[in-house]
Amino acid sequence: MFKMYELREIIKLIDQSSIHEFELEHEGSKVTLKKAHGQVISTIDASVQQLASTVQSSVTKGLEEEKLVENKLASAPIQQAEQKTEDTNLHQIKSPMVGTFYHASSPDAESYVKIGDKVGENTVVCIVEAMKLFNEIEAEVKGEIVELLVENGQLVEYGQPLFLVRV
Amino acid sequence: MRNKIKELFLHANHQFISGEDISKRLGISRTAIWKQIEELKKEGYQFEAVRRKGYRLLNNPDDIHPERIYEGQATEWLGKEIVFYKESISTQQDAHELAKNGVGHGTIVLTNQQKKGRGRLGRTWFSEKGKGIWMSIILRPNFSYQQAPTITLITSLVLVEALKQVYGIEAQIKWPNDVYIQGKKCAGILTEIHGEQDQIHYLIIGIGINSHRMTYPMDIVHRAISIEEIIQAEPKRATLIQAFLQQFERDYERFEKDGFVPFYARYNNALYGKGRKITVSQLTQQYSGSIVGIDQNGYLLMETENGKTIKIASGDIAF
Repeated sequence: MFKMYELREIIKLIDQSSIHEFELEHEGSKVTLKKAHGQVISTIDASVQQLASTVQSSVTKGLEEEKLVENKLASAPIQQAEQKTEDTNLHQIKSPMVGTFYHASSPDAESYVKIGDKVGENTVVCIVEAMKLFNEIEAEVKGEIVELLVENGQLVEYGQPLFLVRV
Repeated sequence: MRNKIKELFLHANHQFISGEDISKRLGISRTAIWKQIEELKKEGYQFEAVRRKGYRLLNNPDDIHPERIYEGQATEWLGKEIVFYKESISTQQDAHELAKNGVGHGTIVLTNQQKKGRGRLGRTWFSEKGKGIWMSIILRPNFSYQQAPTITLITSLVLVEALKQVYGIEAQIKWPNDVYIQGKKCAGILTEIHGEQDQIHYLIIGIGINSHRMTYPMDIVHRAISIEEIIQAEPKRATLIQAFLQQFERDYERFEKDGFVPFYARYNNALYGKGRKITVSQLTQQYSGSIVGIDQNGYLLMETENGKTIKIASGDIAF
């Protein structure tokens, strides 16, 4: 299976290149990347499907130079990813609003959570802030953090997945 | 009991109230009344005592005890319940506790001394005993998360308008919600929201206002200003709190119904630094350009050097 950072790297390279279609097969996993209208759309085969949502978020990040652009193109793949994550007991913690993602309560503080941390319904996992309104996001499920989908300081959209939790 | 006696005197409009009258109304002895009046004197109240006429309140001290705010307050639901602490670590922290324990919409936490006032992202808000207004408003909103951030803009707008109404001060707003007078910060607002994915449980708006001249720490001495420094007189904090609460209640009701759109022109009029060059710092990037105004969603519009207008949802602004 491909590692997350490998996929991110590939997408970044393809995104910056003039390549329109890209396929890679390796040890039974297959990744297909296609650019439509100059943007990257990805399809990923079954063995890496639980990572689809993560990939999607990296893709949207790559697409978005101008902030707060509504990303209609991305919404369909995100929905697909949602269905898939249900199958594999992965829960997505999503952002309830547009804003900046912070992984800690202050620049000097430790991250609220990291990969491998066990969380409960009321565990605070991050802060999303817009216009000095601070929203402490709680996990809302019991489980283990398996993936951080956004980076500290990144702008997130309404409904954008922030974490994957194995429930 | 002291609150009740204070209420009587505040209500009496500086007229005499006889000891007998107080004694009948509150069911306490003359000696008890005398003791309570001595206590009120410690809070800064001054009385004239005349044989056979009773007591008369002489002054209107800068007192922010709840009974002082309640007196003459015309709001319907905001600040009907004020939780007052002589000193508090942080009213924001107190408000979270109270909200979790289920206090009602419109409850206010107010203190006369804040030990470790909270600013954004772990920063502190400088507070000196008796020289500022530090309060947190607990709200249980009917609006969505998407609408919520603009409440911080409205709060600053209401404060600017209350400063104008009470003191005639022309204050402005540094986006998103710092209140500036003569280019210096007079008040700051920190809003925190708590809820589930699609439902807000409560919203806490923390407000810090420099009312009186303070001995500011070195790092903010050139950037901070108080109401007292502008009006060259001692401000009455209770008057400003009342004016703020009345206007906030009205505007909040409108905001719940109609969103931010009815406010954005008013906000743009009060916006500080229009046309000026700024740098917006976010955690991982910086943008520079000049301030155009805000849009109907409350985002800051900034024109970059290549003539492009971009929208800013969060970040620190430096001129």
